[in-house]
Amino acid sequence: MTPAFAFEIVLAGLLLAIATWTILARRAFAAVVLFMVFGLLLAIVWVNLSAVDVALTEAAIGGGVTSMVLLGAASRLRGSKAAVPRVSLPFKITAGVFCALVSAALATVVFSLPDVAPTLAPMAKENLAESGLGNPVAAVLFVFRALDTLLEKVVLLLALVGVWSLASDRAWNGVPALRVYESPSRILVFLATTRFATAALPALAGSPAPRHSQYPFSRAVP
Amino acid sequence: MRLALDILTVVLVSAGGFFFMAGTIGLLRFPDTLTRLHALTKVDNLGLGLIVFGLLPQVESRLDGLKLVAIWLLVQISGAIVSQLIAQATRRSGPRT
Amino acid sequence: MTITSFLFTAAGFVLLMVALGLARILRGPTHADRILSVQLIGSGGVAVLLLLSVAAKFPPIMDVALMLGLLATFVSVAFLGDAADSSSAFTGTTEDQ
Repeated sequence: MTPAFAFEIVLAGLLLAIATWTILARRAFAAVVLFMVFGLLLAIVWVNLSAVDVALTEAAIGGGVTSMVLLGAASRLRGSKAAVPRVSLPFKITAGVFCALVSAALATVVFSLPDVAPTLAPMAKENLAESGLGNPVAAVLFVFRALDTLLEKVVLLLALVGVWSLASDRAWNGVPALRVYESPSRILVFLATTRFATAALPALAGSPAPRHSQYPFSRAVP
Repeated sequence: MRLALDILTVVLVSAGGFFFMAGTIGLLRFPDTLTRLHALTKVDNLGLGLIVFGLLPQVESRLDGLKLVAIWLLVQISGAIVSQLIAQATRRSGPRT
Repeated sequence: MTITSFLFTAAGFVLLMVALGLARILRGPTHADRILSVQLIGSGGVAVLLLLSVAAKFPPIMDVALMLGLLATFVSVAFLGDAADSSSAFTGTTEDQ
């Protein structure tokens, strides 16, 4: 048992424990915090599987944005009837069986993946020089499938405008408008400035560095 | 030379791990929010700092070493800010015994 | 024991410390304690990733560590702001959730 293997076992066990704990947590706040921890641990798992780009996304979105959205939802529900739902036992059993079936289906698919996945990655790598970027993933996102990325943003914007239009003003605490803070807390402003400066670093450093080369963790995906 | 650097790494990373353990035990065992906050700041500063300094002899290029130190400074600043905010909010509503 | 396996062992150790710190989320009487655990996980996660990065000689992992450090702080501040809004959050348990 090499230390690398032992590390993975600790990580996997921790992940399972936290997932179970998140489901069983009594309070919404604790559950959201646990979900965020789950996201952060999952980022470490992605790193272990040599998917550094996925790890970055997971840390940012799973660990950060989703947690904050869930927190907003939990605070909305605070004190209302919907916060502590009472579901019957047959309902819980049905939900459990359904989840088990989905997990079994996913496991079957993952274990029966072909060894050489059909992919266009070699073609992307060949044309990398034309795109002007060093990282194949960045090249795909910003050059080869640039329209795709742009249209995703348009779709998100349309969805946001639609939700704003269809929901009642009361649900949003008034008409959606620019929010002005009377006296912004200076600590938070300092935090935001330093964060913004450091966030620019990965954005600038990300494009040229190719990430998919020699990763010494020996991976044998069955 | 290589051996001396490796020994330095082992010593510093172990010391960092010790402070991580101390901070975690403090978080679990101290009686009050503010005291637990005090334990946590040791983790941010000393735990991570010693680990970073232990890793410095092992990195390949100087830029990576600079990145390590920068990450440590960032976590320190973040820890300091969050600690101040937590202490402010706890003081406003009165500390629990 | 090579330096690489030592670094992996250290990473596993820090991960265990982070796991222990999670108990504070379960027991923490106030919201502030849970936010402290989040900060610990942020620092611990950064330490684990930095150790992994040097152990595997794969520098891009440090960028993930940077992102993790940033995000843990943001989420801590978000939790803090939300908990401060509900005035009862810092003085005791909130059973209505």
